[in-house]
Amino acid sequence: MIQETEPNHTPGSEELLRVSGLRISFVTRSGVIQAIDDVSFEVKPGETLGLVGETGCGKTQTAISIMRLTPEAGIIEKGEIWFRGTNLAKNIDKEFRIVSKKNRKVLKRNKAKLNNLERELADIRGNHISMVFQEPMTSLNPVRSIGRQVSEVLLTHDLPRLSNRILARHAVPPEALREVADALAHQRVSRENIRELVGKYDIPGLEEQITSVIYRRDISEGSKIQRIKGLKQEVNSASLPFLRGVSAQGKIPAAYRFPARIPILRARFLGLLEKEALAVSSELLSMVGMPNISSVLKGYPHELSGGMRQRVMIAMAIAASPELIIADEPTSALDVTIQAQILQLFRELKANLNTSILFISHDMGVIAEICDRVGIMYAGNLVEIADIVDLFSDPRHPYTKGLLSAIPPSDRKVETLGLIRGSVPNLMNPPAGCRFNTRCPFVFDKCSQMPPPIPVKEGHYVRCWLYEK
Amino acid sequence: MTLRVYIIRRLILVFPTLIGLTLIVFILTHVGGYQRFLGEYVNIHSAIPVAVQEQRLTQQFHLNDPIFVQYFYWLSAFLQGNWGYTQTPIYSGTVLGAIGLFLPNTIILAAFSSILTIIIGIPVGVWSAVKKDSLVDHSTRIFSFIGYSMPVYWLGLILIIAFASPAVCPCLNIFPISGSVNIALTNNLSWFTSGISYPTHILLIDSLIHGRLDIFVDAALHQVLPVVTLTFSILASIIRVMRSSMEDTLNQDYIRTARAKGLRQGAIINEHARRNALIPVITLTGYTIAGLLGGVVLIEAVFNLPGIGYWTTEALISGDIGGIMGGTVIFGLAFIFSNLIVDILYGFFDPRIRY
Amino acid sequence: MARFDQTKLTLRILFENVTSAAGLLIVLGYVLIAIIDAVYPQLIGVVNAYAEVPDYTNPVPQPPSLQHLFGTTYPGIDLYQAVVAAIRVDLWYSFVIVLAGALVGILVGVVAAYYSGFFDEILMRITDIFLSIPYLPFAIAVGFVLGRGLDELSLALVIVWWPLYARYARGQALSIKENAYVEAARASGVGSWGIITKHIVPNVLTPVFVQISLDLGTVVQTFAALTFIGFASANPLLPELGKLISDGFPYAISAPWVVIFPGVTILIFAVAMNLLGDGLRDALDPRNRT
Repeated sequence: MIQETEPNHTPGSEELLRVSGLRISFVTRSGVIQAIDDVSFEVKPGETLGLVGETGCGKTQTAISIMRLTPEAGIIEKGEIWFRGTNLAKNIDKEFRIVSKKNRKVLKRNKAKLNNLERELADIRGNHISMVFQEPMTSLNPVRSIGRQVSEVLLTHDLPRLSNRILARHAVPPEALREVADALAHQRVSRENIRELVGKYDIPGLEEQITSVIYRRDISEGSKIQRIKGLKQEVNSASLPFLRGVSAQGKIPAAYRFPARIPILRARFLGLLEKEALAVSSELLSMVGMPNISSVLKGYPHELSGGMRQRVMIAMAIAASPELIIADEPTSALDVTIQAQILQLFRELKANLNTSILFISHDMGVIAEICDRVGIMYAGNLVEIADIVDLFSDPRHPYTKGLLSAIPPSDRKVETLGLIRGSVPNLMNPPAGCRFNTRCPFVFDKCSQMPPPIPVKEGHYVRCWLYEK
Repeated sequence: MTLRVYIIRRLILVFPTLIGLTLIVFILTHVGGYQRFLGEYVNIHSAIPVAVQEQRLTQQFHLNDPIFVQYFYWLSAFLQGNWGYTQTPIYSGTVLGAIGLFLPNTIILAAFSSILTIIIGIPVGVWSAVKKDSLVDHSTRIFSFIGYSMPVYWLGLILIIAFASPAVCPCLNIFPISGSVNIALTNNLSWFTSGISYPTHILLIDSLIHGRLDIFVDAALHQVLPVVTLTFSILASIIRVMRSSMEDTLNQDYIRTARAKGLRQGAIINEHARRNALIPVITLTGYTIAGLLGGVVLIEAVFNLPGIGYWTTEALISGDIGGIMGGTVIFGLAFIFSNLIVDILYGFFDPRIRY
Repeated sequence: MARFDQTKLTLRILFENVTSAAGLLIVLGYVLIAIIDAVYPQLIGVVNAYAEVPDYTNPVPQPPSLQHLFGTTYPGIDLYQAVVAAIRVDLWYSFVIVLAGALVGILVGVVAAYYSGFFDEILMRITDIFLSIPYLPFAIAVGFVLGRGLDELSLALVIVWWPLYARYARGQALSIKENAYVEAARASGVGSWGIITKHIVPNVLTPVFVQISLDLGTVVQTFAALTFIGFASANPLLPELGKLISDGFPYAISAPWVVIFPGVTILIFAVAMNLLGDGLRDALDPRNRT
């Protein structure tokens, strides 16, 4: 029986995301690939969990499956994905069937069953969970402008934020702005001050606008003061009820659904929101360190380098303030110098926003830079998971040890690097039990059964019979 | 580069192509000796004897000089409007005159068919790809498959049989199967003589101008079967290409990104998929237009519509080089300019090409 | 060895797809008919494969009957025999046209891509000029100038068709040219002509092959369309599908079968050819081969 909502799960408890017993297979012409088997882990609020492994170990597919973006040939055979009290994998038994056709397996999908879940998923994607993909070159639509693609996230998920901002600018008393400008001129500004001020004058929608101006790195102080003073903007009275409706209902009010789209009237309604979304996009791009923001917004992806495109992807990912960002090897397609910049960006985002990050990589060095906890994946299994320092100082699983010993250390000289004999098994016929048992130097007879996660320390789990109590 | 620069560049490229077209026509009329060429430029209605005309023409066009010289003189005559004479059962006179007479009818047929094709073809192609492997998809694919496998003139004949044959139910005799208008209606009209209507030469418009709604309706009815036949044929190609392009587009990474951003299916299709899918369709439109122009020839032959295509087929049968040349020039020009528009559209839709 | 396995895989995928297998079978059926027509026409009931057999005593078209399976067309010609014999004629001309056009086009396209530079520019400009006129009117013009017979028509269609292949092959060759194995071949001293024939052309052939199979359907239709309009053989009784339709046109309303049967014959062949071509394209698509 597949659970749809969590029983006895108190809201606000320790986990943001819990993946449990995930099993993903791919049905191909030559056979069924059991790509991921019995993977379980959690991501806590505010933490960065890394998933490491070599190419083909299933880390990307695990990440993609969380948002149910698995490609056509892949299915989730078993498992639960718990997020905010809902199991995102609740319809898997109704959705897929693997059918045998002349001793080959073929996939049959029931699209209708998927559609109901799609509505829920569309609400979560980009909004509560967002994703940064690996290939910045192809992940952006080549014929739509950058500004439009970033604004899209806001216009889909965050309309009240946009209308609130506009209304706040309309309602703000000029003295409040003068006070902020004053504080800025005398360098007495901090986030707490701003929050105080906003509370004092009751202009919540203005907080992020003021903050974003102040923390911009690409304009001068004088310019900032001007902009803050210029935040007072009256709104056309015809548009006021529309905006208030959007703020109140969280979406475009039913009465405006049609008129908001008529070309001439559009400017008064939808157009206002679109313009505001563009302004927020500009702030987001500034947050991700993009140069020449105004021309980038009007431009197209092919005018940007890989690193800049990745910044755009990140801006899209943080736009609706998600609780979880899944970053799938965001730096793997970039040069090392750009890699360092993007990693630095992630570090800053980690510090400033309070999102959890699920960070996928094959590079231990990158993981070490940015993660709080890390899980090691091998051939579709999650073999070890621990706090970052703990993993590097006290690895337990033979594969992890092998992996770490293969990295040349920077502090001493070694004659030879560690080597793991053998090669990754064919996942169409994976070995029974622990999938590392074909290469493990410590293999013994019990290894033909899959070991459960065995705790060896606080927060440190290994799937290896060597550590059986 | 901006769109404007791209358009200007593309416009400049038209000229070499036009010159190429004149070259081909020149070669075609001069291949195999002068007799054919002379035959084209001799005015049989003139009082001047043929032999004398031929002598003058030989001098005028320098037919005894090297080929480059000939081309020069021919081209200057051509650009000045001397395109020779045509002599077919349906018309005898100057080539330019024939074009003026026949072109409007062809334009009507081509225009209606193109518009219908675009209006129906693009949405259906998109829909078919989105609802992949559904009943709609399968039936659309079968329909379009038969459409582009079917000889268009044969389809015309089948429709004629269906709508006129006593074997089939006579209740279907609503659409006329031949010609462009009922002759009886057009007797004794000041603005309609020897098959030409004035002032625009387009009967549908002129009948409205002169307030004859009955003629308008009759002429419109006469267009139904030809337009439907031609549209069916072209529609099939467009749907097929649109569908396959849409399918490819939906597999792209940026569609996955859009889905990951939480866009609903409808928004994904409208915002992202359709525009991208249209781009290959636009590039392939050139080929489809070639099919359209060829189809026009066949449809006019089958349905007896007095257009450029009909004139060309008459010319073929009666051995009239003027008609062949006129048809080639017109179709060539039509093709060159429609390709120009297609390229401009392509530059409009795909910002990468302007870069 | 690898190429043979690839071919086997292609055929296997092709046959899994019911429609393309059906297409292949139908096409083979037509080819078989054509061969029988040429060699031993009596086998399928055709008296004379090179001429229609008129019956002036009974010139009015008769509906299909046991005596005349497809009925008769004016003047008293047995339609079944005429259609079956015409298959040979149409197929023969169409195959020759497509193959000749493809040959010329591929050669021009590959050579242009390989040598690039000025040579390439010139060839491409020439190709462009040819491509600036739609194929049907162009074929009419060229065919007219050459002489309005079927052989001249075939030549005209070859002239009209090769630029498409030149364009296509050039595009394919350009991307192949960039491949490492071409550089490797050149580095190991293989001459230009060797590279062209041994490396570029074979790899261009595969996608072009799909194009050829799709074009065959189009050419059969175009050929028949042009004979319908007015191209005719020196032999007025030569059975040919387009001509049959054209001859039957005046009688179409009262005797529909005179145009239906020849047309359906073309239609079925075009459908089969397109199914086959599509199936080949899908089978050769690397995505489907895993």
